[in-house]
Amino acid sequence: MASVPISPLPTGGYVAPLPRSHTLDYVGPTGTMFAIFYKNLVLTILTLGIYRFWAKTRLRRFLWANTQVDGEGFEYTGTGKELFLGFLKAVAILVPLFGALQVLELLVLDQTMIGIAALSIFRVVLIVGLVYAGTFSARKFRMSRTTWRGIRFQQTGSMWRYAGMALLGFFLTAVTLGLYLPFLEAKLARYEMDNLRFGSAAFRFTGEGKTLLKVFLWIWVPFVVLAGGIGVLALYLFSAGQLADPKAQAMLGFLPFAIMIVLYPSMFWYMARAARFRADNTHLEGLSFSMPRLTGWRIFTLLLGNSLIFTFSLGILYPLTTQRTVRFWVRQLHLSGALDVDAIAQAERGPKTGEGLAGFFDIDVG
Amino acid sequence: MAFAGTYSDGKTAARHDVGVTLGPFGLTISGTTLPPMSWPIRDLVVLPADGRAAPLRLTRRSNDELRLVVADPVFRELLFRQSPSLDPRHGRVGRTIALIGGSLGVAAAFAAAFWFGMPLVSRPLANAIPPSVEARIGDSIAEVLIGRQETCENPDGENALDTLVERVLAGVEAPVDISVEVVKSPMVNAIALPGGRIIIFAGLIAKVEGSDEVSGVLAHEIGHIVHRHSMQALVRHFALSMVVTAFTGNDWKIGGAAQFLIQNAYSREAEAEADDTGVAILDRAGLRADGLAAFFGRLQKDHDDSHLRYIGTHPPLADRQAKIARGHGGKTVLSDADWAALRTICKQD
Repeated sequence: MASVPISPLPTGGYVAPLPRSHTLDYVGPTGTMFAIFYKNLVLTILTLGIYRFWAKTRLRRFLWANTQVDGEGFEYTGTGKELFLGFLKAVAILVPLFGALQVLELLVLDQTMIGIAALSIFRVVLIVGLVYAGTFSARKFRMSRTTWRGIRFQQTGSMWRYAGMALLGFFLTAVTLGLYLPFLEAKLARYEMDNLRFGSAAFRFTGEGKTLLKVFLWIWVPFVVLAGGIGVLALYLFSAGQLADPKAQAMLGFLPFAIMIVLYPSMFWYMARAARFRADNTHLEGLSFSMPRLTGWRIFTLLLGNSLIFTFSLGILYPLTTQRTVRFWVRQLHLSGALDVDAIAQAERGPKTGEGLAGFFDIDVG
Repeated sequence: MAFAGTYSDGKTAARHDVGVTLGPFGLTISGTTLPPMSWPIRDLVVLPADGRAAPLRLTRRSNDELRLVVADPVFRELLFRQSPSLDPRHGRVGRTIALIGGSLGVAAAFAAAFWFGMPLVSRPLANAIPPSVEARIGDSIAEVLIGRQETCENPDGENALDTLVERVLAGVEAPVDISVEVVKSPMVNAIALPGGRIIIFAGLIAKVEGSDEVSGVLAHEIGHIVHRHSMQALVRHFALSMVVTAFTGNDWKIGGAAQFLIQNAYSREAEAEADDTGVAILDRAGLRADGLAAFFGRLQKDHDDSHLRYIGTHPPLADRQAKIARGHGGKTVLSDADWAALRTICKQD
């Protein structure tokens, strides 16, 4: 190819928007989805649940193959056996652990309140920690079994560090009345992305918690003001001796619901902004991601549509909701910039078995 | 005839357009950007795919990072006709049957191991638990079981109860630590908890006619304690719930243990053992031992299930009644005055 002289940017400061360089789409046929779902369901029932690892594998293979970049699908190379062995491994570790915990619980239950409190805190910390560790470990497995043009993804990083970050983050979130939450989300996203590779190409996450905080404050401040208002009102009624008045009680009981009704829509708005924050700040070398069309309203209609479909079909059309969800999120994601695909080299092989912890806690990672 | 395909070497994400020819011993792959290759049939692997329209994806046993994709369905047909064993549908029915059969076999093996293995290990395991631990477990369960219900503490009634317990205990061979309490509840039931705690529900005292029936039930519960039945049942429950937890991820709670003990704690053998021991205790104590049988008779006559939990939880009453039938020998455990006092145990004074 002849070399083209690169002209400097026009001095007017105009930068053309990056063209859509690669296309991303989900093209799974709905009929095949239904066939897979119902075959899986029947076999899972007939095998008393043991087939579920193979069922999950089958569904993923379909979803992966039909999620296509530039018309070429991803490939899920994991097997049901790997998931099954991963699950057995988790059972072998967790069942004795929980057994010991239960014996401990029996021993302190009639003892001091402090013992009970300490044990239940320990339980929560343990379970939340294991759930997050399991989620990350499942990511490692899934990424190592995801290929495109034969090149593997690779998630590095430590599941225990990830779990530790989450636990510390939840503690700080509680202490700061929720204000730390956006920082935690940014931190976890950074850890996930900065440790993710596609072959030899590394993902990068450039988002900062304070950006998300600005969004979060829009729902946090009204919530705190409203909740604080109710508190003040209750205190006033209490000091005025009117707390026993049934009318006052009814009002106090209703107000929290009123807050929920007012803040419920803003939840979808925040979900959309948080998803955009994650996408917009993710880069793969020269390739950038974004979700320019994602709004809270669109998430709301997606979820509402799914629950209507599920409810009115008595669950029969469940595969349709999966189709809608996957198609929605894949089509929201927009790729811009360029990636020199041919230059990307293979990544190392991943773990031998996978997702045991996540499977144990029934975390659905899709 | 050469079919159009794409090839990736698994080293980089570069994609090569190639022509693929099917020969008697394998594939020949050639492209402008590659040296020609040949893939022997026995080294070929067809990757699983769903849907008829999905292109055929191939790799090699000797290097599973290679990818050869051929979209033309004619190629797939030719290949599978030449080597039917490459077709993913080959032997699928057999595999499915083997899968279902295997799973059911595994489940059956688990169930059998449980059914036959647990009775063998539950007794030694239960006996290995130190008494102090057992007492704590019993207290924990009692807390859940009694909950907000009051214990009956009318002083005259309690005195009568103490007298009854003392007289029955006289027939117990090895000393056991036992505490008996009456709980205000309409249930017609009594329960022996680990650690020697016996709880009699007030409904039972209201239901029976005569102190010998109370002593019969009490001796039966003491029989459970002597044989450590409740601890064995809990060990079984523990093991079962662990297996269930493992497969469903559900959590096991102490409330479940309490409910379990009320509803289906003991096996037929355990009940029979407790019946025999109970009667033996009363015989040794020189007391009338026909109370339990009389109580069973009363329960059978009355089929109001809401109050008669005893029926649902124990083996057929008629059989048990027949097995422990006794004459009227022995002393009645309480005087009429004491019996009258015991019936008032739940009355506030």
